[in-house]
Amino acid sequence: MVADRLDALCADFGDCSAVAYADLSIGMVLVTNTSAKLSREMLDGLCAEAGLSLGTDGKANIGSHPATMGFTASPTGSKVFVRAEAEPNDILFCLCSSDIDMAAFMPAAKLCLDEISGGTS
Amino acid sequence: MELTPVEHKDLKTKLARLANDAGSYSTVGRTLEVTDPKARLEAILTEVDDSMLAETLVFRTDTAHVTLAVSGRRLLGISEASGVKTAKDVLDNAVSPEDTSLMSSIHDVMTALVKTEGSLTVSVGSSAKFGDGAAVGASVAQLRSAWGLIVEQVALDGETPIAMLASGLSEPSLAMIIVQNGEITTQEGAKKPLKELTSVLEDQLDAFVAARVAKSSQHSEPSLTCLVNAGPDGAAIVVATDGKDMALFCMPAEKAALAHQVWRQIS
Repeated sequence: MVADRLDALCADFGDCSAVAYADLSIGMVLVTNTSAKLSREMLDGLCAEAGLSLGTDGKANIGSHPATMGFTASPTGSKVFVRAEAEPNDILFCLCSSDIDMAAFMPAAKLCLDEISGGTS
Repeated sequence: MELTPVEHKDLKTKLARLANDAGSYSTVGRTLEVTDPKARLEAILTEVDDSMLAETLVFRTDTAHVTLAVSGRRLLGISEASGVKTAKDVLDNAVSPEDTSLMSSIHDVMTALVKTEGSLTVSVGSSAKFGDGAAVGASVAQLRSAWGLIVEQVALDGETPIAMLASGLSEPSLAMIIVQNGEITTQEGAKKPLKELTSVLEDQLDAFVAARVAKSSQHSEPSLTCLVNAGPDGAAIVVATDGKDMALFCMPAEKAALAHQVWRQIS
């Protein structure tokens, strides 16, 4: 199940508190990890922020190509955005503390999304 | 399946490690050519991280050895230990990240091992089932976190956060533009990436920041955004804003995590 895979990603990284699987084409979160306590309004806002950062409809808002993954870091924490390889509208966004080990987390989040989006999870 | 730049770098690093044969072979296995205890601990974690199959890895010095059960790049537990002080509940006990006591006990055993005399070797042992076969174990990231293995700090210089960021990221960057108090103070790098950054600064950044402020619950606080593959030839674009100060970098995608590390040091 998708929620189990999202739970596993959170379990692997204690600095990641919430993970959501979303579809950018409809701007909607489909599944979150089970312990995520985020309102629908907040999820919608984060989904929009992910679309802004990664780019939508093949169009980049920063740079010349839509990003395949990225993150925003601020004093209050880090948000990580990942786009599925096979389906560009499938994304994960993750809420993490500033201490997240980004070098380890980004590939793990990418693997998680590709498993979900590819239907192996 | 096409690999992402980060995965590609990871794979390249692994292949290079295999090609370099990082160590020599003896009758008891491959020697891990490190002597510092912390570096030895890191080397052991690297071996765990490289292990895909369900098997045991035997780490041995002149006076001690510890056998780790591993699978799918995760440590399942310790199946055997000799020559090091080992708490009763450690052997054959399946590790989980939530069991901080066991994670700590395993750290104690491994720390004791890496401090013993003689070269450290690793060999692959049996593939016998560990525990009841249901153990999920702990990833290397979890072990690193639990064992307090912190990433080395990058040397930074400068009086403002943006200046410090520039000092930490200028070397790995393909191009960068620094704006201080609204004025461009630095503009350097290779032609193509610099042209891309100029275009981001002139045509995209204001609208991006305004849209982000509108969508985000946080307002104009200092922030850094890194977008992998957004730049030319798969490069990452990094933009940082702090009031009227801004920094834009175009850097190899595999350096994206470094931008986060440096930002963490500053903020």
